[in-house]
Amino acid sequence: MSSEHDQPDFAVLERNLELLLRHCYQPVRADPRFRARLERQVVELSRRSRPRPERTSPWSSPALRIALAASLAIACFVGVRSGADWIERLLGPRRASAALEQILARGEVAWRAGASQGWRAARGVDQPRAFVLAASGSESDYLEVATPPSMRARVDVEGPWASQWELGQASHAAFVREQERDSADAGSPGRVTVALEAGSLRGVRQDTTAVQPALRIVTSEGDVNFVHGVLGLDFSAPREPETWTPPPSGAQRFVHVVVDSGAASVADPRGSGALPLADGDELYICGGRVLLPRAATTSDARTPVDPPRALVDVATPEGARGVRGRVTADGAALDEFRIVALREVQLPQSADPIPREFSAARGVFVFEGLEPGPYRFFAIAPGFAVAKSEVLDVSEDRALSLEFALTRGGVLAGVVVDDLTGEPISDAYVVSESDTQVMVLSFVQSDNRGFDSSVRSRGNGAFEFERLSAGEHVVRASAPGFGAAWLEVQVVAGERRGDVELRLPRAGRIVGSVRDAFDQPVRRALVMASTTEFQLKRPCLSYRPILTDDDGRFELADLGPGAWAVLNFGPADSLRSATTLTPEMEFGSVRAGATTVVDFHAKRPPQVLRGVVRTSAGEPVRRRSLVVARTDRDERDAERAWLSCATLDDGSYTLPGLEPGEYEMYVSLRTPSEVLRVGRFEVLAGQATAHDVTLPLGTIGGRVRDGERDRPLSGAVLVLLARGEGGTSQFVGKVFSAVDGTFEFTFLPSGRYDVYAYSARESFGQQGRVDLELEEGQRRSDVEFTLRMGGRVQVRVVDELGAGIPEALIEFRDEHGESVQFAEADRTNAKGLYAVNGISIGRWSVRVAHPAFLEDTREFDVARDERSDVTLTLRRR
Amino acid sequence: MKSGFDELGDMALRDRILAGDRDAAQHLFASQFDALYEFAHYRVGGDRGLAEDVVQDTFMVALESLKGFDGRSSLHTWLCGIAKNKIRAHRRKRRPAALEDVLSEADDEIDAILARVASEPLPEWVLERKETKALVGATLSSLPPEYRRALTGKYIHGESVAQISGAVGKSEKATESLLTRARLAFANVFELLSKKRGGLD
Repeated sequence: MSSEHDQPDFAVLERNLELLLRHCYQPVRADPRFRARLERQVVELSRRSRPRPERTSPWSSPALRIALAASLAIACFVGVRSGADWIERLLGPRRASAALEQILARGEVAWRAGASQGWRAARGVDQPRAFVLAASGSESDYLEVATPPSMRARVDVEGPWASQWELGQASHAAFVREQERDSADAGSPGRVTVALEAGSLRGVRQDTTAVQPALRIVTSEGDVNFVHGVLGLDFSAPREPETWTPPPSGAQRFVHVVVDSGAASVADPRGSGALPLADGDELYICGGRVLLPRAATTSDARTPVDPPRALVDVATPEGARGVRGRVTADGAALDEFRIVALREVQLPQSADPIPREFSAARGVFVFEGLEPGPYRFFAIAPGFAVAKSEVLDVSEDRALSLEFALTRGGVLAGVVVDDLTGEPISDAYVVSESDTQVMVLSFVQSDNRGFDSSVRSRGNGAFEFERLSAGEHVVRASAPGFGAAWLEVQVVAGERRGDVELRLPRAGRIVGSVRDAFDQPVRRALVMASTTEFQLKRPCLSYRPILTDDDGRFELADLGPGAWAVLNFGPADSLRSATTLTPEMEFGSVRAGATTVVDFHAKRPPQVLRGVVRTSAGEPVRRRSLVVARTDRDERDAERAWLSCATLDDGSYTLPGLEPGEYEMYVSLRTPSEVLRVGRFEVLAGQATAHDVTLPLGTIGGRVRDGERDRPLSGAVLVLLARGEGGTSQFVGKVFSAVDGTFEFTFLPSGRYDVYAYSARESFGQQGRVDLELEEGQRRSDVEFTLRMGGRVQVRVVDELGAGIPEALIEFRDEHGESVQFAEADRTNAKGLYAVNGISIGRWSVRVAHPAFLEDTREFDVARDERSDVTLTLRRR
Repeated sequence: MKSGFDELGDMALRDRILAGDRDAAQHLFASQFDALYEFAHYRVGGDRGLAEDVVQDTFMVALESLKGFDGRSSLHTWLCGIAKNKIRAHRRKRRPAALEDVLSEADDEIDAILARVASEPLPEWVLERKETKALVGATLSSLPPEYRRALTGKYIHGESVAQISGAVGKSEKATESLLTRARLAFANVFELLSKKRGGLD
């Protein structure tokens, strides 16, 4: 390329641009539905962006309202003082602060040490950001903290009423300590008040010796007097409002109080005085009114809910077999539910879950057809937590009975963060292994086929399981770029636990290759990285699967630091008929940010193929690539061992490492990527095999033109098929057109051939020249193609669950019913996709076949320069 | 078809949007979406879902912070800057392909090389390289909208200078000059990207 000092040659530049833009530019178009939807969204959002009166708070929360009547119950405080002074100081002039908004918009925690002081951004990398309200000895100490959606804060209040507070994400609270002025009691500790304006707050009081409430928490709906223990507050509304006493009509704002442990009190709505709260108590304050559970007494505001049970005591008809049972909820039979049977096996073996759907069942199910053995059963119904049984022994000679009483379970919420930075991680895959109906749980959600009890974290890293079964859960979180993290948590039915934090470590990876005994890459071998806890310390064994590529290589990414078992199951397609799995296993140790290599290389058996390749005129075929491929494997076994070598100057070749069997041989033509099939041979066991090849001298050639621009077309793909008996065709070879558009297939025997031309660059429709006759030694160069703009098609083959089906056979037929082959093997890739970038316009049909599914056929139209998307959903046999 | 908003500058358009003018917002979208989508497309390895996320996030952030746009750059450049941040955020979780690396490294240099001289003739075999399509698209996506419009109009749609001048709202003489600058810009960016990708040799 020219240097800075060279003058541009505009004629050259003009030609370059003509070539590049005309021949190579393909505009990128967005999905029109996405475009239209986003346009509506943008216009709607712009309409809302009109200037509005400034809010009195950085968040969309109502102004702080103090229930002065309640808060001025001065007797609850140590010291006698009206609350009005500090409240007024706390509120101050409630105008929006640009500085506060900017700090929060940057994702930083904001704080200030006085209501009239400016806001500052908290520094440091710790999460949560820590603050201290020190006992300075002055008349008052003040600390106000506001957190963005991605951050939390902790405030330590020092002094006689020492306490710790955790401010949740997107929250705002102020802490004020006041000393008595001119008090006769110089030793008075003063008073600490916390005002919660937005978000959530959790108090972890340290001082447990107080007998009077010493900390008042002021919220917009009412105050809470916090004595000691662990207290949480937020502004959420009741999840099941029908279970609480009704709020005032038109109520908008709720304060949710939860006493995890210790003691607190609120003003009693049924009389004067304070309503004491103790361990496990929970209530709402709304419009100055306290909402209690409908069944609550003064001292007990909570009714425990029993977890579901599985009983083997339901009456069973005489002579019955299989597994029978009932599914109820709230005492009533359920019509719609699913029962999943999961066989207990010894890892690393695993069993597929066996689901049965029941509809209009009136709560009754019969599960038959299970092989004898130990099983665990799950009952799943919309709106309820998963219920699971103990492991039961299914046998042929007796029936089992199960009873599932479904409940709504408990809520588990939390956040997924980067262990290194504390930053939230969105779209993390969070799964309860305990409620999941598989034994081996992939890190790829689609592998789990809907049998996982899972959620995804939102943009701020938060996640929430709405209905988990009561009891102990192992929760696993994973996300791209990170290793997984596990946490054991207890879920209580009817309760919400919101403090779960899953910290994901930075990931490393394991790479390697799978090669067979011939030192050839094994394509599409199934390789897995598995956690090494085979003894089921966790409910599930976690794994990440991958298929090797065309070079037999694999990369298992997103693995957390630690020891991993790497398993090679061999060709994926051969696993379908396997009754037991016997993978090769190696171990790899993963470190964050590092790559570990694990290879599976089989030893080569000593079989040798030798011979000489000559033309029929006796000339040695020198310096050509020979490729051999196995042909006698099971038709469903798509794995073929490809071996290659080169002929020497005398035409001889030596190819070691073949297994006994039948093979096809290909020879390269003008370039190594252009090949021609030249015959079959057999390798016998235990001996070297001689195979000389004599290549005929027939030639089929011609020219390809660009019909759009009326000039030679280079780089077009030419595919040659030999016509056999009964109208069948077999792939013979593939070449590319040269710069002048010419092409040639050499070394052809006499016969009848079809030639198809495709464009390698643009979406030209293909053309075919069929039934070309070639005589012995004939050289014909009269096969002409003129390609014109066509379209593109992408075929997507999925199963009934929407998962792509790889290696499905694709057969296209044009509008004349002629079968057209676009590659040596038209098969879907690992994602179930097959794309053709140059197909002639018109009506087509595509037939898809796969041994595990019923075949299907679909018609579609191809338009000029457009892509047709065809999706076929195959049903399992 | 030109709208009345075509005559407005970026700042005036911003003001109209901030005032709640729906038509102005619609014009912003219509005038920026295609270029922004293509910009994102090449920088996320052609991942359609990811490109849509980036474009959507970019527009949302742009509308939220539109009052912060001060006109020192064009709206297109400003939007691309937002998109780059979004892409970087996604890339922290993914392993980008080589071209994404190239583009992300080249983004800050592209403006600096717009004044460079054009290159030598490209051999025809360049067209046979499958990466060439991606490079051409990536190059175009990196150019200002006016340059893109001029180049695609002339070399793909075969428009005359008069037709292009009508579309970009300039005189024919100014359009000739625009085409010259656009040609040079394309050549220089293409050269940069192809070299950084490992060359076409």
